[in-house]
Amino acid sequence: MGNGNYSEDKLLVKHKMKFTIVILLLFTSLIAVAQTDEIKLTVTLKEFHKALVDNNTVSVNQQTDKALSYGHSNGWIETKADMIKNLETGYMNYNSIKEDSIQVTINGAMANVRFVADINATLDGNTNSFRLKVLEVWVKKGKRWLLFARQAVK
Amino acid sequence: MKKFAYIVVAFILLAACKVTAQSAKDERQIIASTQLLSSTIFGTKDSLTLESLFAKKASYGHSHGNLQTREEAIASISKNKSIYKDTSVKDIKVLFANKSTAIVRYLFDANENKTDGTVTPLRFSMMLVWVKENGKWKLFGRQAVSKT
Repeated sequence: MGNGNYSEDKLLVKHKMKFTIVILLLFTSLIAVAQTDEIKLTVTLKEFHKALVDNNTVSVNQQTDKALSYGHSNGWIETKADMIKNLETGYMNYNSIKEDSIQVTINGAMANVRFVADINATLDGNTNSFRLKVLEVWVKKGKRWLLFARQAVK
Repeated sequence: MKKFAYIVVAFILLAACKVTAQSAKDERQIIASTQLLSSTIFGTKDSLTLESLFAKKASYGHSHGNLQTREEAIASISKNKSIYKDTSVKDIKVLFANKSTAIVRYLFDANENKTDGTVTPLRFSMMLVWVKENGKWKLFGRQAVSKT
């Protein structure tokens, strides 16, 4: 074992460490990207629910996919056109929506979001409060997340 | 010049046909997987079939609101001792958001025969989320709701 070998070993260790650090940094940035995507989607989801409460059909239109299928806890299903029409005519009115336990599972350009929601809504003049378990399916088109499907259950 | 235009139109038509053929094929595959899933959950309860149908990150929501992971759902389905009679899957509708994301909605009816001898009629509106992974459609989410 000569001195030369010793310093070569040291160099190798140094390289290995550098490599490990680079890999670690890459992983950290990947996780950071995934996290920002989840945070972004959570923000979008809350904005969408606010648009429902505000009866802002322009936002609702922008935040939903054209194939939207929106299922209520009694089995009633609205299309995108139904939803916008029912908000505009006042047949459906969301008075408040409060989400908790939000769970985001992203899979490429789509995501399942599960949450529990306290909803107060007026349907055809009848006001009721519900605590619902909700699955929302979101898809990313361009830079935007759009709501594609929703199913709630009591 | 005219000839060239005809050729271009022919190519566009051909491409459009190909896209339609692909989505028709996807729709057929999704419907077949939906029927296999339903007959496995309420019939054979075969865990290997379930494992082949469920995506890794699948979540499974029951009509009474409780939520299970892939592993929990497969375990509880394969251990379920109830026998389901008069099962029916109808009004299947497939909606696509993009090439690899679709939902299926359908109505499910059955009579659940429990081991204690009781029979409960089931009437569910189902929503399934399917995603395409390596050319195969996999169940990414399920939410049942009782139809009232």
